Amino acid sequence: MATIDDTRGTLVIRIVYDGPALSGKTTSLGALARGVNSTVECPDHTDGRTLFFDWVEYVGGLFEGRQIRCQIVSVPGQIELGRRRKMLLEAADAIVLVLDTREHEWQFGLGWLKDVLPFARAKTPPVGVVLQANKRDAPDAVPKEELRQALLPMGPVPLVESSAASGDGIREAFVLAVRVALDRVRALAAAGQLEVGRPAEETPDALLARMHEMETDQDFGEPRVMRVVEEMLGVEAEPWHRAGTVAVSASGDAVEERPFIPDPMMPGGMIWPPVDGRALLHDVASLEIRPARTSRADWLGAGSGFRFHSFGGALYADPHVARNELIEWARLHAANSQYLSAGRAVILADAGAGRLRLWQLVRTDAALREPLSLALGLADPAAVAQDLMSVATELAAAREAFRASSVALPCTLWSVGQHRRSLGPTFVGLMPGPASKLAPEPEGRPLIERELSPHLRELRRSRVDYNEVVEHVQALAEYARYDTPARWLSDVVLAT
Amino acid sequence: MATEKQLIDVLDKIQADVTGFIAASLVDLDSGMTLAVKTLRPDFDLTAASAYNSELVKQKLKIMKTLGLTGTIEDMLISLSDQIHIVKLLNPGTFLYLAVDKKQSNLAIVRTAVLRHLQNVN
Repeated sequence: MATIDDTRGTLVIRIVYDGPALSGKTTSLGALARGVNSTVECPDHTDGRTLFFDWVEYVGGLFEGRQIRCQIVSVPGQIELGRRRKMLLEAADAIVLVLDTREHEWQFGLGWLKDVLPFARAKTPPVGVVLQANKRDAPDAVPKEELRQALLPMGPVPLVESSAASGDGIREAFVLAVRVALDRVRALAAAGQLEVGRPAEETPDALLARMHEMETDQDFGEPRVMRVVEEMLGVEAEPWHRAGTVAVSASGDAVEERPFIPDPMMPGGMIWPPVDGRALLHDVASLEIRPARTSRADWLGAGSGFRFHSFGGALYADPHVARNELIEWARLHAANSQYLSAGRAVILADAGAGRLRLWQLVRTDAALREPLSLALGLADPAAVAQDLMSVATELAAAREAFRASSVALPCTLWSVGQHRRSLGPTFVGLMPGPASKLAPEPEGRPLIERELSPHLRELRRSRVDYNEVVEHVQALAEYARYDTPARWLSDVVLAT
Repeated sequence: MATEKQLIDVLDKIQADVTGFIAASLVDLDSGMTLAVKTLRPDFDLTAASAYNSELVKQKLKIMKTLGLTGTIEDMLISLSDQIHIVKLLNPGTFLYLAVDKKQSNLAIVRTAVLRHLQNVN
């Protein structure tokens, strides 16, 4: 549905409000319309019940310089009008699922959610679903923790509490849905599938005419569109569903963590940087990286050019604390961006049972370990000596440069990147984190010794011409000033 | 995240503290959509102003990145002949946009009020 309307300089997206009858969809649209100074248009209403759809149009926000024109549509919730509902869902860029969360309605709503999620996630690219937990002001509303527990087996579903009658939470759910829709637009644009031109239905009348046409055109409407939709709604649980099952202990009090699976549709405010970070998540979402526990109780996953890491203690039960931690990490990254390799994101991911875990995602860049490995295999001892000298110089330069950073960045062959002209030394490792207590990093000769001694010992064992390498290193250091990387390397080579 | 009611409450407090208040909004940086709005002038298009200011912030962030500047944006001040506009970042994804009548207020008052009332908002 998302369409670039170049004649008006707008991006047109459709946000569809879905949910059972009387869950509060029309009331939500009414509250939203009041909040954004718009009006609700309701073709063919009967006694306050929606027969086709409710329609609100809102122009707000910007996407790459274009105004965002939101067609906000609610479906008819009555079961017998299910086909009309599905027609509207077909064109959604994001779905706001409005569920009545009172005690006697919640289980029915949950079934509705189980119906919608596979359909939305089977679309290419997936359509994001925002769960608007409505009627939270009712005395018998199901506790939020219970809602979250029920959502656990379904993978990440952003939840916004609301009371459509009072207007609470309505705009928050809508803005979140717009964000989710824009992510889908980016994915469509990246795949070259974003439509350009006049939108198919620009007004409620045009949409109504289209729906009438599809209902009466048996050849086109019913068999083709409905078959596709029914097939999608019949999709079995996706792999994430099986992988993401949370184990609960017999006593029920120890809930294991939900395995982390990169989700580019995660709610806004949980990723830093907001745009580039989400784009990075898009890149890794298709990869089969599944972090596992390390012996130090951290979580680590690597492969296909990316690494995920989370400290063991970076699990938060309080979302506000988690968000503060995310902001702290964001600040840390921003403050040290001149030293850090590109392609980094910090993510707050659902860890199950209402908890959040803080992750860092780092694109793997070439570190000094790689040129060193190549150098050690060279036939010419002079070339080996020259490359050893380069690595030692870059390590020392990195140590010097990182001294000015606000976090103790370790200087190792694995964490210092290959030098890029004009950019200076780059840290390519995992960020130690704001609260990390690292031992002071050695400098000068001790640093060169720590990093290169093991390789020099291996070199001495494996090369018959090792003495020649030593001589070349000494020759390179001969005219170097005292206390320079060349001298330090020469000393280390002699001592090895 | 604070609820819309809490956000509007913050805008109300800023309005009460700032003489010459024209309009204010809390804006989602990614989409430019408003999370809460408060305006005293019906002719002031706060929706458009919020959206275009989100582009302003994004462009400034790009400039900082290009220049290799390592700090973060705290606020941005635009001084018109008759108005003061201030953009104050709350967190990496949200900012406050405030427009004030220049004749009735000054930058110090605006900044003080904004800082005071945004302390409790994430």
